[in-house]
Amino acid sequence: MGSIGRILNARNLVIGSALLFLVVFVLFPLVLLVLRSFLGTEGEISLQNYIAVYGKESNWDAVVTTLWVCGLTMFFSMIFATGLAWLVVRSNLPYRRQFRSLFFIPYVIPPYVGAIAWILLLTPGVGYINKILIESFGAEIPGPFDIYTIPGLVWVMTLFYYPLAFLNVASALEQMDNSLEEAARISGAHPLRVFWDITLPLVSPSFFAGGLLVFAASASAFGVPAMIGMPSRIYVLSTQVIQYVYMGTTSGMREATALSVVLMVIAVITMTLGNRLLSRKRYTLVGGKSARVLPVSLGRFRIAALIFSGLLGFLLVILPIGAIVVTSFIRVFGEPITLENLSLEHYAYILTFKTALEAFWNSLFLGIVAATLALFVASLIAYYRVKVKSPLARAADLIATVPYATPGTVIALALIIAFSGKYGLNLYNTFAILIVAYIVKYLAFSVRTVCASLEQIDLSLEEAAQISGASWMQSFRDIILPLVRPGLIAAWFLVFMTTFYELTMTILLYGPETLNLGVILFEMQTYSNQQAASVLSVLILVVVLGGNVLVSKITKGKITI
Amino acid sequence: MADVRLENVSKKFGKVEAVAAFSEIIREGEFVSLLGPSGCGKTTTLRIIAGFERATTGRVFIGTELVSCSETRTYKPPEDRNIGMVFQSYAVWPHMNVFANVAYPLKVRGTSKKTIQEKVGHVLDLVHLEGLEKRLPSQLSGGQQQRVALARALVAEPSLLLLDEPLSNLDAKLRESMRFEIKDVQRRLGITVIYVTHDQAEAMVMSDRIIVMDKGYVQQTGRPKDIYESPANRFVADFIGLINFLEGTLVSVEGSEGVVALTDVPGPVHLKGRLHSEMKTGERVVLAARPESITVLSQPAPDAIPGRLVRKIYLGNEMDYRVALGPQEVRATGPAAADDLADGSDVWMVFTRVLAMPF
Repeated sequence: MGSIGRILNARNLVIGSALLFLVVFVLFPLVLLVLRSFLGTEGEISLQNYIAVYGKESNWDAVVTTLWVCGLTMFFSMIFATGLAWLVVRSNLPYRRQFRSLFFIPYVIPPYVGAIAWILLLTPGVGYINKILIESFGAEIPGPFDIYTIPGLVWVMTLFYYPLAFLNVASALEQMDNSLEEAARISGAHPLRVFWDITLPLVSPSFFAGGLLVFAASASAFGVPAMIGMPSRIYVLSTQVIQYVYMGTTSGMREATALSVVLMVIAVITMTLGNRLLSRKRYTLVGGKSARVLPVSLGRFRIAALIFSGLLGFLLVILPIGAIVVTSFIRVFGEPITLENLSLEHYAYILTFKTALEAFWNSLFLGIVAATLALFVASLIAYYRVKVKSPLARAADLIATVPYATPGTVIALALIIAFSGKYGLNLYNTFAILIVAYIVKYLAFSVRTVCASLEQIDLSLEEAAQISGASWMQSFRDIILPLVRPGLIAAWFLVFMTTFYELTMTILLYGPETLNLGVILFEMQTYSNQQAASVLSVLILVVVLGGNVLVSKITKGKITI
Repeated sequence: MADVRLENVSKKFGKVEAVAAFSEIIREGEFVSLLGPSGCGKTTTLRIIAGFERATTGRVFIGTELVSCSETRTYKPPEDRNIGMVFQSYAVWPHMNVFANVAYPLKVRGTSKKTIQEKVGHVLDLVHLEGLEKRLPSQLSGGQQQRVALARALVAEPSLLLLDEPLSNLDAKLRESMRFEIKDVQRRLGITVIYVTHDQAEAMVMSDRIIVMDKGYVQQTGRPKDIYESPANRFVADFIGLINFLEGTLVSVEGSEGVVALTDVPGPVHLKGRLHSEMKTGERVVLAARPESITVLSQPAPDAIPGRLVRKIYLGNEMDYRVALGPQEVRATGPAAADDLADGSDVWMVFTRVLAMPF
């Protein structure tokens, strides 16, 4: 066979088509988006769009607000996450395992559901907390709290994005060799000093990486700033971009493009920095068996810490979920919660509301198709990456990480620009454009999960099967597949759940026939139908929390969202 | 410097008894090893002395001070016990350079900068790390990290030095030289050392006294020579060095010696052995003989027991023999130069220093 024949063999053809898919649906639209932002009205290359965009004070405000909100969210998340991680991993807090799971639940809840919950709690005048303070503690109407402010936005973002930092710091603490701290104790340092001199410096890479990931995630967020910020005209970059797109004009599109390039740069830079910090192994250490981890005694603060953690769990999880569940059963929002004011009428309304039902089926359909296709493509890439070590798979893996770091708003905008028919392919208002968006956004995620389970399979396991007389097919069926199956199932569910409630990209890409649950929920919230929005939120929570329980059962607790 | 006294110390993890009824006095300046297989309770005992574990029962004194008392539930925290400790993983702080690592115990004690410079310099000389002060741990070899850990444990002039399997992560050659180095440092400083290891050779070379542990219980305490030559029981005999066990019945007793008829060997075969304790004629016994106390001959000799040479293995410094004695295989050693025996040939074994232990 000639050299062309070798390159065009079946193996390269398969992985090549996966690569082609990524080039067409990731590189092309994103490059096009960036290029378009530098095109003037006459098609010449210019900074005209940027000058136009940043000549406007409202756009500057959006940039500044984004940096402020994300910076504050990052700051509070880092402090909050480190304290909690230390409590649940290192201290002798009672029930610390259970608290660890509890503190992580907000990560599983769609952030916009969290926003709805806190709107129910903290709306001036009618929010549950304000109401209780007015009626029982004599606070002045409309009560002390107003969710529709920058502090309100930071509050909700912190509560729902801090788990990214929590996860990083907690696992750094868990992986740290306990004798490093014991060596400091025996050197004469008391526990607080050990924390300051040894523990904190050693977890600092994870601490900062966690912070940067929170920053990137909150910069990419759409649901929370849209629901909390927009009613009081607080705009961040993602909501500002949507405003421009909704104008529907050519100039609106151009400004949206220029703004979203900036948004993309912010998110990609912070995310890359964070990931680099995490992967940098600054402290390589001699491994040794670590003795049983002896928790640090909280002494007389143990009970105080238990009460604090309990209250926090209540605030983080029970209060918001409770507010949503209660509201879904209330006849008139704002009236007292009495027996007469309870009803199932909003459930009946949703279950008979044709558009909502269609949206539910669309969400289910889109989730299943996207998760299945993403898993298929991800398995191909992961297999060729890990087992075949194909350079094409490396390239595909690399390209797949770009949309993972890129805010959903930017991806959606890029897809609209690229696939509205101008370049030979018109996917506008179709299910296809949504499925493509979901796949490219969450592909890297699936690739990671599948790669991780493939990497566990040492080559010697396959070689042992071969030497025992198994053919490649038999060894794949009997050895590899059973070992990666939990990882594959987990990857499928994780993509299914996130696409099931997707809002950020869908809000830009949906058409009259392709509404999903996220969009319906967003519209109900926007038109202040609190109870109907709560019913849908309950529905989403049931699917998402149930799915997570299922995933952690399947993977024996190794993987949760 | 101080004595260390443990009185009836025990530790339970749930229902598992990790250490049981441990009582011992370790004298000032003594080098004592806690020796045993993994899970025998040696590390737990060390961690109780350090203050990282709280004993379920018993008391621990360092010098005259009661540092751990389970009756009153008073436990002095590790940082106040003035102990030096070297961990199995070294636990050298990766974010501090060599100087900062070693200086840390002095720093937390509020020692002046000048004294710190002086003392750290001195202790780094002692462990042969002079000139490496500015290095980060990641730039050091395993052996050097080990020395940093040792220097850090010694710098504050503790009354007691604890070592938790400090050499188990080093390669064989380095391990050997570090044994002598640690021993040398201990002699020069006259410090009390408690050393945890599962390596019997290590314990033999370094210790004044060895405490052999198994399943949480102390099996024997004594000088290396006593432990090797007069093991208290079958476990100790088996754990320390290589040993052959032969079962038999005691047929006669003469003073401290007895004659034993071997059970599994055809024909009446008798072997003389030193009695481990008082035993009566007719009792079942186990004979224990080290390979080096068995001489293998090609010709019959008085008191020699016949066998068949299964295999001889040349080990460089000596010859290793496996001799079939009835259904059993006996291991013996001889000079490496001996080459007059062929595999499969009939041989005769002369046993010296045989110990007859209760069955």
